[in-house]
Amino acid sequence: MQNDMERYQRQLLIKYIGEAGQQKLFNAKVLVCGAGGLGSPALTYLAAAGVGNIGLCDFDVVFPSNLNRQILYTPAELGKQKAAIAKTKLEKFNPDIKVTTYSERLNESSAGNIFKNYDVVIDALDNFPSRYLINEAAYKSSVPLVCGAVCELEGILTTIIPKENTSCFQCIYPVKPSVALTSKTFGILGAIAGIVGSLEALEAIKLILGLNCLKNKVLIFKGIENTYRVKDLVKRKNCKICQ
Amino acid sequence: MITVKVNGKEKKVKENTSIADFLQSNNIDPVGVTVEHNLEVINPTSISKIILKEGDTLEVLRFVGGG
Repeated sequence: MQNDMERYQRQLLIKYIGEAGQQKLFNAKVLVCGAGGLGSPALTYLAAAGVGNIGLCDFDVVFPSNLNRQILYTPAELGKQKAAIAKTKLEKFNPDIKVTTYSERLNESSAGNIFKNYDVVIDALDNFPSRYLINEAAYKSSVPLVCGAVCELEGILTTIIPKENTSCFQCIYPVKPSVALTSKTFGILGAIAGIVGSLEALEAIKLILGLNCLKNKVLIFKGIENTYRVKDLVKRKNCKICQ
Repeated sequence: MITVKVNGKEKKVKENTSIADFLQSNNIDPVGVTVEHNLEVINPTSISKIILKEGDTLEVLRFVGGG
C-alpha cells in the first residue's frame, strides 16, 4: 500500500473498495482516449481515486471553444498540447499516480499496440471514425472498453467486454454515418460532459474492482427530463467485430 | 391511432406511419441516430420502409459527440 493513504480515507470506507480495492486501483492501468469534454472529468476522477497508471491519448491543442467544458485547461494554455498539460496537472493533483501520454493520432496498428498495455480503455472521443477504430482495437486486444457520448443535453454510456463477447459499438451503429458528426454539429454543455465523463471513470473503477457494469446495457441520461434510463443492448447478428 | 413504445414511453401514432415519418414528426434528425425496432438495430436505409404496428417498440439512440 502506498504512503499517503489519508487522501483516500473517505473511499476506503466504501464497502466495495476498502484497502484491497484501493490496492487494485493503485495497480490498475486505464487508458483514456481523448482529453476533452469527456476526458477531462474522466481523467480527473481516475486520478482522484488513485488509479495508479493512467494513459492519455490526445493529439490536439487547446482552442478557445474547448473551454466551456474541458476543465483541465485554462486560457493561459491556448495553443498548447493537451496531453502534456493534462499529464502535468494530473500528476501534481495526485503524486501517487503515473500518467503516460500518447500525443499522436491513433491508427489501427498503434491502437492495438497501446491497448494491450492497459486493463481498461475509455472512449472519450468526439467522432465516429475514431470510435469505430478503438472499438475494433479493443476487441482485437481483448481489453474492456467504456464508451460515452454527449450531445446537447443528453448523454449515453455503455461498456464493452470482449472476453465476455458482449455487444459492441458496431452492434449499435452497424452502418457508419455518411456525414461527419461532432460536438461542432450538435453543441455540447460542460455540465453534461462532466456527468458522462464521471460515469465513464466510475465504469472503469467498477471494472477494476470487479463490480457490476453496463455490459450489454446502455445508460441514457436526459438532462432536460432529469432522467437516467438503463436498457438492454441487443447483440447484432453477423456483427463484423464481435461475432 | 396505434400505440407504440418509444424510448420506454407509450406514444400514440397514426396508422401507416413509417419510422422515418415518426422521426420527422418528432423533429428527430435521422442523421447520427441509430434506431432499434422490436429489439433489432435497423439499417438506416430501411427507416422509410418499416411501417409501425400496434405494440411495436422503438429505441432511438444517439451516440454522438464528446470532445
